Amino acid sequence: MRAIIRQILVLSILAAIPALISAYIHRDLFQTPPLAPDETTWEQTAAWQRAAATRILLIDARDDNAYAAAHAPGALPLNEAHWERQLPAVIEALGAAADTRIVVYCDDTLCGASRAVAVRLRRELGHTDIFVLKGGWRSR
Amino acid sequence: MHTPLHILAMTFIKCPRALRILPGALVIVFAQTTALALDWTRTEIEHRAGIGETLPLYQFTFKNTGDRPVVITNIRPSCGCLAPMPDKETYAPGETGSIAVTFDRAGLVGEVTRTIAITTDEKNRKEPYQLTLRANLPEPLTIAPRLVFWKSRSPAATKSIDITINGGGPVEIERATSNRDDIGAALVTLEPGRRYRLDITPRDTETPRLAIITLQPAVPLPAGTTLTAYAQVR
Repeated sequence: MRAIIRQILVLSILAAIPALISAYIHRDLFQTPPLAPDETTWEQTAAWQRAAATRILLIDARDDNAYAAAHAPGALPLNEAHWERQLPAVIEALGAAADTRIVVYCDDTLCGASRAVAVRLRRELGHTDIFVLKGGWRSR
Repeated sequence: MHTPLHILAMTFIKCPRALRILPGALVIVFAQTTALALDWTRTEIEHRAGIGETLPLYQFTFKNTGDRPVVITNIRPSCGCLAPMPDKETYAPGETGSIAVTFDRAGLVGEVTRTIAITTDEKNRKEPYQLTLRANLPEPLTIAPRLVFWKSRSPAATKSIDITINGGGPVEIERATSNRDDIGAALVTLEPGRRYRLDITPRDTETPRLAIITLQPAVPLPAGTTLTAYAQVR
């Protein structure tokens, strides 16, 4: 009996060693990356909207078909493929309130369109209060 | 049925001296858990395009340096402007492959960075491989800033927008027109064919409104060239 227990213990230890090494190597699996300074979440955006101190303008950076299928309430479409056509509506919306915070989203974490749109809005319009929504539309 | 681990464990129990091989075994385990099967020739491509140039086909090549076949399970470009296409789906050990990428520059200007996430069936890899395309897509002309604005009831002072002709030959701008009579735009030539200035003045700042100012070049410019600026009372 003692021999069996000893074998089980040894087996468990032997199995644990590579498991611990693997867990250490892939430790990012267990960690949620922190938000970058210009990133936000749906929860934070909703809190900003409830606080009402700053008007929130949601920008949908996905392609036109995705926007037409579904989008966040009040979101305006703006993607680089149709930039010139869609930009005037965004400028109009920016002018509707003194202080407006823009939150740009695209599809998910692998989608870079929201960041590209945010960069271009900063460059072309000089608007600096812009956040990128981490996780995008699929994280709602 | 004895698993390899069971056999290994029993070996250690029956012959403690076999524990001497344990450090070597751990090194092998470590190497197995960190090895990447796909060895890419390059994961970044930089390209400086000419004005109006159609972008070439970009190739990312790799070799499967692992000891198992690798299946590409998903390819995800960061925008609809990229169309990545692998030459096949499964790559045997030692086999080389490539991802060909077409890049539609429509609507894109300036320094543009786009990525492609390549997911494979490798068990020990959580993150996809990331390929990056950095393109410099010069515009025939730069309008900066593209938007000037006045807060409601602030002084209706003139604000300026700079227009710079980039590279190539000179481009004469003949005129600038505002789509609203109550926001005027005057084109000032600083250096013929090279540098201009738009002076924009609202008649008043009582009413919120948006004007679109359009530049008229003397010669046609490549399709998609930005020729508009915005002036807004907000």
